[in-house]
Amino acid sequence: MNTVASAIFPVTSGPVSPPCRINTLIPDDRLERKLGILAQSARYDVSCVSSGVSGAALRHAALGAPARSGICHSWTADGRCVSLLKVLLSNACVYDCAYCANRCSANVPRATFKVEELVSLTWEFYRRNYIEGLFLSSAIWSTPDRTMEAMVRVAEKLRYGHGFGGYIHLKVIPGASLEWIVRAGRVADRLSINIELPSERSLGMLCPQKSRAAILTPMLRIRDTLVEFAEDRGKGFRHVPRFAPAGQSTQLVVGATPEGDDTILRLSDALYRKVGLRRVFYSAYVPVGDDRRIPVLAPPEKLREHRLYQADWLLRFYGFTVEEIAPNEGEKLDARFDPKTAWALKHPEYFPVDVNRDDRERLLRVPGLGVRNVNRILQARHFGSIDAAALRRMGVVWRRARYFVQCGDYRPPRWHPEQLASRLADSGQHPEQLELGLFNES
Amino acid sequence: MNPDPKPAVYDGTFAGWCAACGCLLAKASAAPLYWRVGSDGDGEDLFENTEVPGRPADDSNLNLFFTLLEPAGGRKLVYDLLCVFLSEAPDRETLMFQMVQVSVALGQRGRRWHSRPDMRRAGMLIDRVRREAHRSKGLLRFVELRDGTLYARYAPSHDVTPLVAGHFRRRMPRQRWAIHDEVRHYGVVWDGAAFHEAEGFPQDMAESLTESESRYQACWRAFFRELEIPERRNLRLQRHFLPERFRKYLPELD
Repeated sequence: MNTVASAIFPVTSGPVSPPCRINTLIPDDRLERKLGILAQSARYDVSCVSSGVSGAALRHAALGAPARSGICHSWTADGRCVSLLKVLLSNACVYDCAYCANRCSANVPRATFKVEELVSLTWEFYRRNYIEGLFLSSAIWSTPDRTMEAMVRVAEKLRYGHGFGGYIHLKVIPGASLEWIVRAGRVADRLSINIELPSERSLGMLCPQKSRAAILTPMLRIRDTLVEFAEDRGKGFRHVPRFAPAGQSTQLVVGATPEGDDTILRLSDALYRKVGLRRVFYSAYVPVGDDRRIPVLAPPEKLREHRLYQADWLLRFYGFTVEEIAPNEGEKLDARFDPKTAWALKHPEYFPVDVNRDDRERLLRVPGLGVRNVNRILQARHFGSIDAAALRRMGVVWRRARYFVQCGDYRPPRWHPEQLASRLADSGQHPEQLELGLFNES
Repeated sequence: MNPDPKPAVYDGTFAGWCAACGCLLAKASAAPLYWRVGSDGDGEDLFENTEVPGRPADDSNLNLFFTLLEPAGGRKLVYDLLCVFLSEAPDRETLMFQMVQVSVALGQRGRRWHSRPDMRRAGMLIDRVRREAHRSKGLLRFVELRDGTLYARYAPSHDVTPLVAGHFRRRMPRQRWAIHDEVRHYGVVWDGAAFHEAEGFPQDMAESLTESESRYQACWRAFFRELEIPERRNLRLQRHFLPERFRKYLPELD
């Protein structure tokens, strides 16, 4: 054995334990085709994260333990990460939402998983380290309750039947009863309900069978249940069961309806503050049919989606308010700059920020400084003055930050917003990128 | 007054380095001129006046090291030191000793002196190793052998197997699995209770696999293929996330 490994692994010669096995199916061509259909039906759901859970889902789980930071297991040819077995339980839907690929009027092949099939695929994919767990959604094939029940039964079979400790994300079916939502929360790490369209008017136009109340009511119930469970744990009750420890999330479709980014950001802000959502995902609309109610968009607005994620980050981690970064009514975020740079160009009076004196809140507003950079600066300030060379060593994006900071003997060049805007726009400020480091400025 | 600096020798293991470092700290020795791997019984000593301070078996030095480090950062510091060690950087031992010296002098915040070039370099190495370990945790692919063992090969850019193996012990505690580092030619086996040294690896993979293995790989490929949204195709971004060294082990890219 390598010398490093021998120092770290206790090499023993004890008895070898037999592996823990369950009886899983050997997949045939039919199951492979079914998996393809139901994966394709689920691919427009953006959420594929497996983060936010610490500790084991089950004590003494036979297989699986979620990682707090989440793990990506692959990346598709469109650059999106694959972390979960993201499938629909069924794509045979009774609803006719105009933007949806699985609406009942769409001419697509239909399929439905059996419980054993989905359990086998999840278990065996997890053993091979293809996935972190299961993301299960479904079309509504009869009533919301029956659909929700079938999904919960799959999750319960995995958790309680086989001791699966991996990540489980369940979609809540709008209109499902509270009983099924609570049962789902007890086995799932995360619950989510997709709002999809950012205004009631658009919802009524494109999804006549869905209502705002049918979406928001279960969201608020999940919030209340999360609070109840947290309070019980706070009282010291030892056997409070877990309930959706990774919280709840939602998804908004961008570009299928005429709302501006201000509407989308205000809705997201309200969802974070009032409903306690962990994440709002944004999905640039990809036309999936020829419904006349949907605008023709080609290609999808990926850059707009990216700017919304950046603005979302500013709301959650950088102390910005929605009023500061939202564009004017009905408009989109500036495509040329990230929202923080756009804000900085409108507020020249705020700069320069002194990296050796100013507080965290001010540092976080400097373009080119991410949360991680700011933490490093604050820690390094204990040991002496920071100069420009040290800032660059710390990973600050200097080509942007240099206009907004002063430190040691460095003073930023004088700038006029319009001149600086054109200079930053010319220096590649608007790449078509979808990668978003959590705490790094890019 | 500190004695004159000398070269230091250790046995090439992380524990050996810790023991050597403990000995140096106890004697309040100056930083060694350089570090080399060897032992006092390995033939002619090419380095005159070389100090041979510790071996992994020397528990007293190892305990001394951990006692001294407790107020200076404890387990987190040891984990960071391990990451620098696993980076295999040529100056890793010197950097590690500087990390220890700064931490002992300044306490837990010493390692956060990001404006200091050596601490920043150590920080960068730690980030690189942790990133490679994190990537490996996601991109390692197991195949099922006929005896039920799950077997994975990979070629990481740093020696991250110790970090990766700990992750899979938590993830698959009751499975039997083996991880094989094809760059450094070693592997570890988890048998459901303890780690073992891997003794040989399957030569003919096709012969060694279970019947269901190819079926599950086919299902995984079908799933992976259908997840792509063609209108969003961005191969550059995919290449960015999937480094070449991992690609040949991924069944979905076959």
